[in-house]
Amino acid sequence: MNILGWVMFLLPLVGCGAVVGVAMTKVREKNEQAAVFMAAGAGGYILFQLARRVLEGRLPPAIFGFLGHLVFVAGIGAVVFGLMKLQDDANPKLTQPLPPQLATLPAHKPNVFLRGFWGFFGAMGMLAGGLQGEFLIFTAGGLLALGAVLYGSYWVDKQGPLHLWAIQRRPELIIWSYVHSLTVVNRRYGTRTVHWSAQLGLSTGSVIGIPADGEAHAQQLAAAVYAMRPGILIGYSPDNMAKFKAMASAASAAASTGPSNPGGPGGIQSF
Amino acid sequence: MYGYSLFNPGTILSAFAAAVLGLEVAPQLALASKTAATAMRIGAVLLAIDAGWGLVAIPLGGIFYRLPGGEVLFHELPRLVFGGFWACLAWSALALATAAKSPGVPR
Repeated sequence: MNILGWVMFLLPLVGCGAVVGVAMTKVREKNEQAAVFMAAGAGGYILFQLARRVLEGRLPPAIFGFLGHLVFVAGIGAVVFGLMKLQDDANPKLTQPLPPQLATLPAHKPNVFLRGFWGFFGAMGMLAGGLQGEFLIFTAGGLLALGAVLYGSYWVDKQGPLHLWAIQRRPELIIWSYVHSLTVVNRRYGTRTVHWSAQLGLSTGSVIGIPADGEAHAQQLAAAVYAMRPGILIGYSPDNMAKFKAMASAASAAASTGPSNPGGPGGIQSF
Repeated sequence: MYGYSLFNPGTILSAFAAAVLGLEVAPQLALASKTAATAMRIGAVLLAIDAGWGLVAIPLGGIFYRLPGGEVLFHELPRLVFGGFWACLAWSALALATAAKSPGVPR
């Protein structure tokens, strides 16, 4: 391989090296385990690609074809697991009791059917490609890796729902709450469904919803959030939207300049 | 076309991984750090571009092939994009590591 070939081969590995570098310096200071997962994921991918390049021609290509997909998915999966662990360990569940309306929110059930639906088409696409002349072993590795991606998606979804994470771990991030309704009209069947929710505006700029059974339930949830975080913006209006954006920008700027409490004053109330 | 196929297992795998990272992992990271989530979304877009290079090949492949050295560039660009994807993961980790912790955790 000429020099240009090596340079182009090493370019993606430089990106992986950046992950290893960040993991072993910045992340390791905060969370040793998360750093190990991230460095192992990206470092394993680098080692595999180097081994593949060195041993090319000496071992059957089917081995690398089969393992390549699995190492790719395992590498990304390890980095994502490290990121989630870093985030959860830095923000453990708080011990303060929550208002009853928020303490009894139902657990989240990831949608298995949707993943199976898309996974079926992905698997069919892989098989179609495999039967057109690719080695079948490549396709087998791809199918196994696809299963791993779908399980990873299920696992990530299971860590939610997002609103419970915010309420249980970082309630001080909540700076806005309002009742929201979404009307879905089905012209074919002539149905009209209204989905109610209480929305939470976080100082990180995210807006997440708590699903409600109806308007009254949504109002109760928004009131419970206000009882937990008195002084936050309440109710939807263009004025509140502008204030929320300004507060989120200010919190983001403050967070980038040093340690602070992005939620500002208010504190967490006990019930 | 031009050596690319949309039914390649690697292409389909990258597309699925990009969807999971952009639609499921990024919103989780957005709870603690908006920058980490943005980096993850950019990384997911780069991975999707890498996966969809077969689609780019059909309209643009001919143009690249007419340029001097364009053939090499056309086939090596996905590597650069893939390197950018890993760099975005590193950026996301850096943003999350430097994000403010919960007040309940000793700083």
